[in-house]
Amino acid sequence: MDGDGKNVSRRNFLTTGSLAASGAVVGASGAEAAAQDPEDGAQSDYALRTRALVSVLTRKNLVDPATMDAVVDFYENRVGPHVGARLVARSWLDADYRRRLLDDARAVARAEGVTGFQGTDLVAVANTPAVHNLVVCTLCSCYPWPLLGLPPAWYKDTAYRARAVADPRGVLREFGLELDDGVEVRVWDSTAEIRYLVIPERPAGTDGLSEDALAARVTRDSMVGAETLGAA
Amino acid sequence: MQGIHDLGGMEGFTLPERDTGRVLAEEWERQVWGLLFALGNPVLGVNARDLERIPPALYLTMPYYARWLHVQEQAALERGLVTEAELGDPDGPVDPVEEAGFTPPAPEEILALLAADRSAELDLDVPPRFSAGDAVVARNETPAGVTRMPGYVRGRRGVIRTDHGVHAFQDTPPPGTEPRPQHLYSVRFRAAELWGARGHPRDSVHVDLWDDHLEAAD
Repeated sequence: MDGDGKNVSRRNFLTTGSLAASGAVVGASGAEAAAQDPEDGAQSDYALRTRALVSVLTRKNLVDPATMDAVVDFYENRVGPHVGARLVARSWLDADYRRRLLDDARAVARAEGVTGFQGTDLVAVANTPAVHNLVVCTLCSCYPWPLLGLPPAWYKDTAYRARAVADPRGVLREFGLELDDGVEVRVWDSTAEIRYLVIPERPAGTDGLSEDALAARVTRDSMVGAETLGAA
Repeated sequence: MQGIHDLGGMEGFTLPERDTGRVLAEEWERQVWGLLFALGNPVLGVNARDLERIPPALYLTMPYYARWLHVQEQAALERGLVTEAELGDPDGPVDPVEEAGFTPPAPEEILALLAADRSAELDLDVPPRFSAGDAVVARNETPAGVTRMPGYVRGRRGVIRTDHGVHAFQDTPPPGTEPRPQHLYSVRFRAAELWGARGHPRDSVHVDLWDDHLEAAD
């Protein structure tokens, strides 16, 4: 961590508005709000350090701010749970599709063009009344980005990474899911380049719904195995 | 080495509530993530292995995106792209970096990278040492440097579930040897084998391990 003197200069820097003049970064309001929140010194420090690093690199023409914006847009808007939800909904409607997804999810994802960084080598596992699957990455935070977007904070949390392998039932209980003792729990620790997608059970009361309507019922966390889908 | 990042099975952590908001919640988090693919990963080679080198006490107190900020700061400093003085006074003068012909990656270049259909499976003819159903033991070894074998399976018995094909071996190879592409398997470990009586008799953990992580069980 930096000394006080540096932080003071970064605070001055933040309030002078020079960053906007440099054209380095858009949308300063969030960082400034964090910087001014006396309750959250760590957030404020991260915001200041980030803006310093980005500003210097941008002024040296080492970073294109438009590329930064495009990356964020890609992960906030282009990929996300809506992609995985479509595969899950189709697997509920089409038994042959479900079989192919469980046999070779990578081939199915490739055929549908939903490959990409952190997710081309895909494996799908299905929850049933007898088996519940839960995905974790104990070593970092590996997650199928092309299908689910970036992981939520809970997935990356040290507590989830520590406990999901040793006490999956306790973790799920704290998440609001009490599993019957007769259910088998399979935890998948993503330690290599393989990424895992959980196909949740189709909720009751969804007969006759279209693929779009079914996809809208599929939650992000159900595709990690952190929850099941309730009846309509 | 078994670093602080190797968290599986550690106790005493309090689980957060499941968050439902934006995954990039703060503006600085968006900037850190944008920087990671606009410069950090494609140009500086920053990746998840760098996170493992963060000192343990710092690692545990840093939120996820702060770790990516930290390793990108370190990489930019080590490569001489920025100086401590510049970061401490980012409103002040900056020394131009003379990288002949360097153009920062453009949006379309990086978006193509992020969406690429690029499997980690290698098209190499390497014979597998194991096949589905084989009983194996995770080697009781902790290599110097990086390993993708989590500590909680070391010395434990499991069964090969599937063969994922040939993949680059990601561990630091022993001194004097080259990393050798080899088969990667899904290995099933019973919860009771890993956690003793606290493991539920029906439950299991599946871990992706390479040939060099495994030996045949008796």
